[in-house]
Amino acid sequence: MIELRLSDKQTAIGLRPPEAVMRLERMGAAFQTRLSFMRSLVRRMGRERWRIEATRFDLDDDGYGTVVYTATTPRRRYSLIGFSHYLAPECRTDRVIAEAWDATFSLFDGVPSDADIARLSEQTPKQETGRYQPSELVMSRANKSLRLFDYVIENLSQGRQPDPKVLGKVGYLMRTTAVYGNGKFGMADRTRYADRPEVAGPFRAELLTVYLIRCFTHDLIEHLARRKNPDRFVPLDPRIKRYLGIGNATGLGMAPFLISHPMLIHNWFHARETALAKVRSVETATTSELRHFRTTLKRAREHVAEWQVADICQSERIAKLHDDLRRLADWTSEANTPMLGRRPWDALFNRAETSLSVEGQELLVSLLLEPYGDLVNDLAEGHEVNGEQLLDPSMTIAKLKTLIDRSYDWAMAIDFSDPEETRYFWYSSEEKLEPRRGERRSEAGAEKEMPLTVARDVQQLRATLGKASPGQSTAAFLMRHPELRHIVRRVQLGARYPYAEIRDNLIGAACRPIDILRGKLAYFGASKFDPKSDLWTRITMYQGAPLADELDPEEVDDWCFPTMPQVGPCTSR
Amino acid sequence: MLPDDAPGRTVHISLSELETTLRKAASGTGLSLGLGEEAGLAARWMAINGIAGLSAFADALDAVDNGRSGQFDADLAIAGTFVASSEGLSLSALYAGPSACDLLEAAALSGNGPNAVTMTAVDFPAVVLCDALAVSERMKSGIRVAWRSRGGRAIEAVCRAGRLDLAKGVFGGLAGPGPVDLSMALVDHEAGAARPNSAVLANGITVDDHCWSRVLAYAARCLVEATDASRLTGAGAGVVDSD
Repeated sequence: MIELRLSDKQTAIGLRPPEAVMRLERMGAAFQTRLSFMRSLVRRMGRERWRIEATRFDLDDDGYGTVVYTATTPRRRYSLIGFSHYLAPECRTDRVIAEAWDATFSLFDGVPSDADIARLSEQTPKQETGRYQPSELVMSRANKSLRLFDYVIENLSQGRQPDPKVLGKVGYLMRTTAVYGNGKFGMADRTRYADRPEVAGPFRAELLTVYLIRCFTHDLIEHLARRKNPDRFVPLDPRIKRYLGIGNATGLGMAPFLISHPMLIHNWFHARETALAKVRSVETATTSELRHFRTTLKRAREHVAEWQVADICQSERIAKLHDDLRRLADWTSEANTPMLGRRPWDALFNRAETSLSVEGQELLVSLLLEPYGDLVNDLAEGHEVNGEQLLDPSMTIAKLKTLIDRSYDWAMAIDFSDPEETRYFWYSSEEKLEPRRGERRSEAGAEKEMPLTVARDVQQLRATLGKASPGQSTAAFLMRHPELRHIVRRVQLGARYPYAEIRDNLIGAACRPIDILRGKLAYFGASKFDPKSDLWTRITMYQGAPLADELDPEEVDDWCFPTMPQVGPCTSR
Repeated sequence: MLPDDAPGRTVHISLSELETTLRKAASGTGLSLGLGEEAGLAARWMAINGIAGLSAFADALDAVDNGRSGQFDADLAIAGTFVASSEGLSLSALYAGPSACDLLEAAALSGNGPNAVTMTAVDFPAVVLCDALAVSERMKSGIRVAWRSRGGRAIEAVCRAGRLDLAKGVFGGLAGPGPVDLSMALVDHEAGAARPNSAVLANGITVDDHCWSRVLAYAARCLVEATDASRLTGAGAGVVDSD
């Protein structure tokens, strides 16, 4: 397991400290990088030349029926089994509490038999109320984007390509509303495939599922357009197809995950910060590296210009980001000689830290990694955690207090006597276990709150430790205070893995859950964050990613910051 | 399949479900989150070792919930003697198991404290055994756990690197109820301990549906009642998303 070395021998420049990185404000400004899970999965797909085929496509004229997509990797095969359904308009909701969807999916370990498909046809459409077997790795569902779906069908069926400007307002044909894995509802535990490099990484099986769903959405729309008007139908232009990712609506469920997997979170953020430090430590930039950076920056500017959201706060941030990117372009132009000097990327980053918005700084992190795949790509592997979160019962109380004072000063600084600092509680509703956040003083259920109260619990622990003998062991202390067992374990772990904690108060009035979501979703590789409130956001996944027939080792790694394709709206076959 | 757990209708569950549900169920009975985490972990190691013990965990939850079993006397426990803190109660394995393992692990790590413990009238010894299995996975020492069943049969198990070796008794008798007196002691680690059961890691386990439902019922206590108001303040779009 990696532990933090702020002055890693591999990097002349140290890592950004966790007290700067693991803040909600910065997590809420994160962007995908080449270490993101979608990027690393697509790289592997290309490197290993995965073959993806629709091995069954039994859909009727309305697009309802069963499909199977099989991904053949060098070692194994995985199949997406999909069921496309009629969805009554009044049942169309992206929330967890939904009970019906346009399409439902299972990722099957291998190639399913007819019996497997028949069994899953009874279970998968039920989603959380179905039961699954270890042969199923992931379960998901998706709804159509009504803004685009009929529009694209109509155009293709009339022999026209859809207008990219219209597509750009959405970016996907369907959006997933949940993707479940790791043993939920009887599916396979991660331990089943932890030794398979192609799916061992965090969320890799889930993101393979999403990639295959994207393939399905492209085929579904063409199928419907062809059936509507076989004589005039044209298939989607590949450039448009590539631009159509898969959407997702994400709510509060991701926040508890981040809190309950501290080692995993450490591994992710430590890897990204290590990558950044490595690039900042590069002594001189080659012409090729500079060109790569400028090309990606140019594309990122167009991408940001096309990023439109209704949310006022995010719109203002995007406007500022656009200005930041213009300044970055000036600073790194060919006329700018400092870029030819010693450690140019470090100089650039230092300048950005004092001049750009937080979004601008975080986008720069992403841009800086792009020219340096050879240097940092290996950091995208090995993030998984296969051990338990250990407790050291031999640690003395004096040592435990020192750990808190050294690593949890951020938690100790919060004034919990201020009611605003305990304004919210997080809980699971009995309604399909939907995660929710309630007002502590006006809603029922606070006694059942989820343990997202790290800072408050640390303060309670520190106060209780103050009354204990310094030489006492943790084992003895916990005999009298079993209610503090979880937070003792966490403090011991957090001291070893400094990027493990979000260093803010998650139950305070100032907490915006979408900041937590964005930090995680960016690491997945999501883009086009489209906040709908402080509690949930829509995103786009795999927009710009190579299509299934484009998985070539040389072509698969340069799809970040996708931009609208230059395709005329009336291109005919 | 865990044979003793599956006399009637069965349900297949993953290890992840087993662990997280036990954790929540423990919280549902009022145990602390940390003790719930230990219960979940112990149940995972129970399954990995093929111990038919889910009923013991469900019964242990019942015993805490209905007040038949309780906490231990901490003053005595620090010296390695675990007895219930109130007369007339059995010693709850869900409380005592983690702390007993803490003591032994601390002794193994630091050389301080007792390297053997005793429990008097512990309610479900299999739960303690599974705690020992879980902690042994990361220890350089092994832990011997011994008790005499209520029928008088001697049971002696050695936990090394998460693996159970039964020196006395039979697998089918491990989940029998207490109260019984139990002893635990550090033993030397032996190199080359067998690896965990990969079939369970890959395929999960099958358990008795009724027993599992009992655990689920406790876990459901952690859920907050849904109201119209709470539905409106939940994350997500409106009731209908037509965009």
